[in-house]
Amino acid sequence: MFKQRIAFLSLSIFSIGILFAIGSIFALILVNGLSVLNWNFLISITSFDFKGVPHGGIGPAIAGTFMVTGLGLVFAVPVGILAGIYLSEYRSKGKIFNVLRMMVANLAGVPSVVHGLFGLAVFAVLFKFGLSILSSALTLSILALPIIIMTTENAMRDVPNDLREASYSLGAKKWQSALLVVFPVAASKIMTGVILASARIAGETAPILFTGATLYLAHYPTAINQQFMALPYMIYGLMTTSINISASTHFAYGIALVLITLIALMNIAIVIFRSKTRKNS
Amino acid sequence: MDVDLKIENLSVYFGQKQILDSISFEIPARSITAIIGPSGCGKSTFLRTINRMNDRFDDFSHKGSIIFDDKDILSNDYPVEELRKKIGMVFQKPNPFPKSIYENVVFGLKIHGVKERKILDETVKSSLESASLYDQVKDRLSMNAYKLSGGQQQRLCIARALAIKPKILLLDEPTSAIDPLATKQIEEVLEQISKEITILIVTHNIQQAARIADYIAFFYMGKLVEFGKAEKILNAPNEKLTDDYLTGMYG
Repeated sequence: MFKQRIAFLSLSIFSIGILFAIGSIFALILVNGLSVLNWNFLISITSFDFKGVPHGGIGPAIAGTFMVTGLGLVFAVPVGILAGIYLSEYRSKGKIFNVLRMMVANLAGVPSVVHGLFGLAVFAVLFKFGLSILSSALTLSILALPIIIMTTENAMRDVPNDLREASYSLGAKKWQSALLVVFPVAASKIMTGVILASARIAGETAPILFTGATLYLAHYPTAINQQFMALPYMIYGLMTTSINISASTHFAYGIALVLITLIALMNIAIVIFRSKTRKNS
Repeated sequence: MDVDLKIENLSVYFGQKQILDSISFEIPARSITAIIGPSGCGKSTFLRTINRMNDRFDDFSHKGSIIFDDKDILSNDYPVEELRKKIGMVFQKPNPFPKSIYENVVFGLKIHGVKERKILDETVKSSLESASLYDQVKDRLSMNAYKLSGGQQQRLCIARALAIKPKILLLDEPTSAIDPLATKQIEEVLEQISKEITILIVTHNIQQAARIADYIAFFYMGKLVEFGKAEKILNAPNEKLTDDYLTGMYG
């Protein structure tokens, strides 16, 4: 009985501790960020005065983050979903499957700065895409791939076999069963994986560091072969290379608040999707 | 007597394990043949061998043949998708697709390239009528099939199988997950459609076999013990093994 109490107490303390830690991060960003947040901050172009203090807003950085994340998904979603379907429906056991699966898992574990170096060497230099939105988006898409592949594979696997058999028994070929029967059932779970992946790549700094992101741009991005500003990289830039770091801090908090809000919105979307999935099955 | 399927010396293995041992008999056309026997006697495996559902298991292998329209349907040259168009299947647990009632019924037609709306509509009506489900769902064909009751779902699965006009329908204990009233409806449906389609039903419910079967095959431990007219098997079986099973000595 006594032991039970100690266990309960210590578990409660640890859980509350975690809530407290997360809560204080949010509180800190909220308190510091709210002071700079207004409509102008969201849409204006950034400018720096002669003391290196940032003014205006972060419009181009928000646009850049959206463009690079969106374009990254355009590459990652079809490839990731098809690869996931392949792993679950066509290559669900055996040596090749194990090797492929291990490679996907390893890909998920590669530090993001290594992705950045790879992107620089392959997309920017080898493919001659230069430092651009395109190079960064391709680099981020590689980061998103393992998340999309793994959620697709698991979602497809979770679909009961009797639906596949029903489809086969009507003379459907394997690809017809996979695409017309299994995939629609798995789709909403796959969607949560896609949102998870976009939340992840929207907040990444290292992969875009060498491949196209820039600290300062006097205009909104207009084409994918241009360099761009992005929210996470802008925080990094303000806090490391600015000549007046203390004056830049509030600005950085404002960006952090916007970034966290964006990612929180995506996570809320996942929760909504999941509850919908549960209702349907 | 018209014969639809000729089973010739069929043995089936999963890996080293032999599931069916030299089965030979002929399945009469346009009638109901029930396959009965205790659990593990291989009756489901036998049924799933006929439309080659077991093909997808790596360790499945067979000897012997099943002759359908003068061809061995177990040979690798026989296109399995064509086979399944002619030999449909209904499973133990109702397994409609999580789509509308309409989409469930037309699925088979659509994957085989039928697109004309008129044909699809007519097939939905006639198939649901054959499965005596049409009157209950005709006003809500776009409703998700999961909202139907278990018995209705199983009749929808029958309609779905009938939509591609099979010559033979295989049913693997189709009423084991369904209440007695719904079971009765399904049995009536099967008796109706057996006038045009050969029906092969696995059941471990002897009363069900007695109610609907024209012929009965009794399986025991992977072997066919006896096959014949239903009244003969039920009332005066040749083998003691059959008699013991029917009188509940084991099973």
